[in-house]
Amino acid sequence: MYGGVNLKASLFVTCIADMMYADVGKSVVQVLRRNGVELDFPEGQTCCGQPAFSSGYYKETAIVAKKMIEVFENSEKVVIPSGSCAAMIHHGYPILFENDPKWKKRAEEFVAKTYEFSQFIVDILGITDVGATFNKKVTYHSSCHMSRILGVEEQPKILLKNVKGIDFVELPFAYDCCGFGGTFSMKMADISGAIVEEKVDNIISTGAEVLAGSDLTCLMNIGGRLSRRGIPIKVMHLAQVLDQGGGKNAY
Amino acid sequence: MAQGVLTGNREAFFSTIRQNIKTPPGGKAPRVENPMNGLFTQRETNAQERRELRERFIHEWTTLGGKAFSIKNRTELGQTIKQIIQERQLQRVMRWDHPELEKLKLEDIFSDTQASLSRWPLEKNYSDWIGKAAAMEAGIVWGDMVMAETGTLVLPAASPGQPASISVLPLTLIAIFTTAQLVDGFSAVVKSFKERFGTDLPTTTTFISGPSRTTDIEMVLTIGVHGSRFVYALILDEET
Amino acid sequence: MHIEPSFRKRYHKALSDTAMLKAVKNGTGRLRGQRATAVEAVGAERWMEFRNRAEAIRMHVIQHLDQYLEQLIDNVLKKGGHVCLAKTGEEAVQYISELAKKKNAKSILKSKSMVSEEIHLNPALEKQGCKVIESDLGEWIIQLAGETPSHIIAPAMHKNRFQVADLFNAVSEEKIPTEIADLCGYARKYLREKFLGIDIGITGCNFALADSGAITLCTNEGNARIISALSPTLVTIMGMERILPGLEELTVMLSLLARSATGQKLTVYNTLSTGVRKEEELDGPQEFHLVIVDNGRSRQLGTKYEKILNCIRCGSCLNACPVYRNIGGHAYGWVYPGPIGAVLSPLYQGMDKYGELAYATTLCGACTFACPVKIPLHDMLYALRNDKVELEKTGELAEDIAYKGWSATFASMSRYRFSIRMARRFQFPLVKAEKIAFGPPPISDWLKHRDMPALPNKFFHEIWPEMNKDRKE
Repeated sequence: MYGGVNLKASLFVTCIADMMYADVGKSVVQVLRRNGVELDFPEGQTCCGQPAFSSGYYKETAIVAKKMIEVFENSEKVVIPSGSCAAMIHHGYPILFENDPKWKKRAEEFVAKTYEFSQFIVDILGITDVGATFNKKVTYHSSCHMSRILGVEEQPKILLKNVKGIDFVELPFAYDCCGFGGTFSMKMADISGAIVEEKVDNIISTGAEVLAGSDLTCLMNIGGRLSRRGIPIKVMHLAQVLDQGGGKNAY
Repeated sequence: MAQGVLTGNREAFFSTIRQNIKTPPGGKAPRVENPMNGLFTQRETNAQERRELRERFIHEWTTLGGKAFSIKNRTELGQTIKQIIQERQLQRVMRWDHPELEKLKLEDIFSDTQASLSRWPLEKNYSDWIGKAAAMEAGIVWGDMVMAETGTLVLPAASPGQPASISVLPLTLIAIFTTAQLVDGFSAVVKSFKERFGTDLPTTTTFISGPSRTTDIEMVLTIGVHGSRFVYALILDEET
Repeated sequence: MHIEPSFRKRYHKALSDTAMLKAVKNGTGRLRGQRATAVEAVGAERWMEFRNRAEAIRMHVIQHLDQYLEQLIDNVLKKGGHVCLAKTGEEAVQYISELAKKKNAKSILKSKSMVSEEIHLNPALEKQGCKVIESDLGEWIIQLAGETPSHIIAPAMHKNRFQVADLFNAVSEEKIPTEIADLCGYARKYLREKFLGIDIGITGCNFALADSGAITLCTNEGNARIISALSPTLVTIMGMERILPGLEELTVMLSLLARSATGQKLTVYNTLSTGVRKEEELDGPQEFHLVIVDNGRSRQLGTKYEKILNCIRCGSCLNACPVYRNIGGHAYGWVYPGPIGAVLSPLYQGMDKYGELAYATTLCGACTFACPVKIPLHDMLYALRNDKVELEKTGELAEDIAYKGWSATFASMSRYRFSIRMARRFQFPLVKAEKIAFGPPPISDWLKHRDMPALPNKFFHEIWPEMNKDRKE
């Protein structure tokens, strides 16, 4: 509860969670509802526009970004379980519309009410312990856009450390990139492979059973490498840990 | 001093620059007033504080690979210099022509050692002095100002008797100064330079923080490529 | 030296050079670790203040570049130094070559100058019979190897001691052991001899001070000092943006430079030289020439890339970059590697030649956060890509089509849902055990090193209605 009344928020689940990790979306919803949020899901949502933006296609990105701004027009708050998507909205949307005063204003309003998942729980709900239990050794990868571009670093770790029974271990070079970089992972696959290998070696060195993260593209990347190497470390989104369990798509 | 010559099309060179520079909507970035403000230690020190700075300097200098000695009196000065001559097997040493070094009567100390002490200049002509200077095994300078926080000797070539070559060439560098020369860091140095030189800086001013070093091969630290390998700081008490 | 024109070929070669990669990982690991320790010692807040101040100083200077350069030139000329304004690299090379000819210079010693690499100075001087020797140990090593520097601060980072010993033994009369101390000892001996016979000394310029006409040289070895003290004729080559108003601004920069580059509080030797020696002085140059080089820099003024001129060449962006750490410096193909190189090379040398470098990044932002003068490097990489697509319209056709298709699809809920349902239905030939087992590029590129999950039976928007079924309003 939030001041006696449930806090209203809209879920922007992200295209990758929608398409590939429905269980993560489910955990996000369950965790938020359990902690006093009245969550809705505006149906018109698709994608924040990162793929096109990162490749330099600003015009094409703007077409979709405008749609998203419209879809969430009536939302009081927007929660998005992805650091990079939140960073795209915060950092990228103002750039997209910097020469369009009308849309610039609408973008700024959208930015002002959009929060990354862990940021929302800790900073808006004021909750640092969601009441989860998870008796595993867990380490955490700090995604680049979330920490450097969005500036959200401590919130996910605070939430993890407060999970009952969790054995939280720091990841060496946690802030180093996982090597995804969007289309970079395919265009320069061999360099990307070298970078993710470093990340995976660091994860293995912690002795963790589970790798947690807040960005599904990072997790898909790291999880994909772990799987290819046959390493049985489970990969989970923060929401899944906070929901006390793993999802079907975790490797 | 005769004016230097400018080559190239000054008009064209600058017109390109001026054409391209744009004033952004909020105006151009203003000059930073007081660029050092709040970033560096700024204070006047008393003798006791300077003795503390001496300890700080010794710590920094030693960490950098140098050796430092706190000298109580003239006897100790003599002993320390003889120790260094012995340690480094010195035979030829050159020194700055500096009033403070004059006062120390270093020639007397050297007179009953195996080492000779020559005062700059060694010879008038470059072709004569370069060979001699290159053969010198140690150079003695006076620490004009000394920055404790970074372990740095400030050596302006403020007069012809204080050439860079003395600190630059030999394998061993000996810097002598008193605690009165010690400051925290850049703030005091900049203040002093402004007062003494304004924008008319000496031909060379060097800030030396320890012995010459490199990590160019495999990132392994090696001391003493090109510049001094052995650096000694002899710190006299200012009330001596 | 021939540089392979394809970035892809260059980086593939790099990825298979395990000795080089080991050295680069070791080198960058140390440097960024040392930097982190130094930053911690300063304190995060004060470090932030330092960076903000440095950014403000550099931005002001760059936006008033004409003013400060005019002041610098007047002061240098007043003190008897000569100035050459070189709009292009060729003009600079010509000036210095003619000077060398006039002085009948046989032995030329250099301290580090990245600009001199930009303009290919050494080959031009060698062609007219001058012996040019690099005095910085790392630069001398790569000179002997016939290579270009692979790191801004540690030019020979990619080499190990055995390779260095081979290079030294090729020029030495006695055999030198592979111990690093012995190798350095040899370098000292060999180069000391050369220092004593300098005809012309050539240095770079870390910072020129406009108000006093002084140039600042920062080295750990002391080679630049020796050159500036012993050269009868001293030439300093300066990128036109390497300028500060005066001594106060310099102290801010020096404090950031050393810590960012290697974690030191200050570089061992910081020398301020005003050029020509006074009449009564015996050492110091009799002639001083300041060569101010444009070579593409003025083109960045007034553009969204203007802040790239803030750069103080500390190299910390290289050490922070996961791409640089995994491919080394030579793969970048020009003088400047790493993130700074990925932006400078296309800007200075053209998108057609170096545009690929704008894609050699995961856009992780580590470079921007390491930069002591707060250059928004990763934003510039985004901007370069945008320029390629929208300004120069040289985006790849396949990508143009793909993203047009993407925006048409994702701008409409129904088109989006239809597309992904179709993808799910027709993915089955590619799927094995709930993973995508193979596929055409770009899927095949992903699959080279990683597994990929198949599209699942239910999308989130399909399970949402069930989650909402029993909820009371």
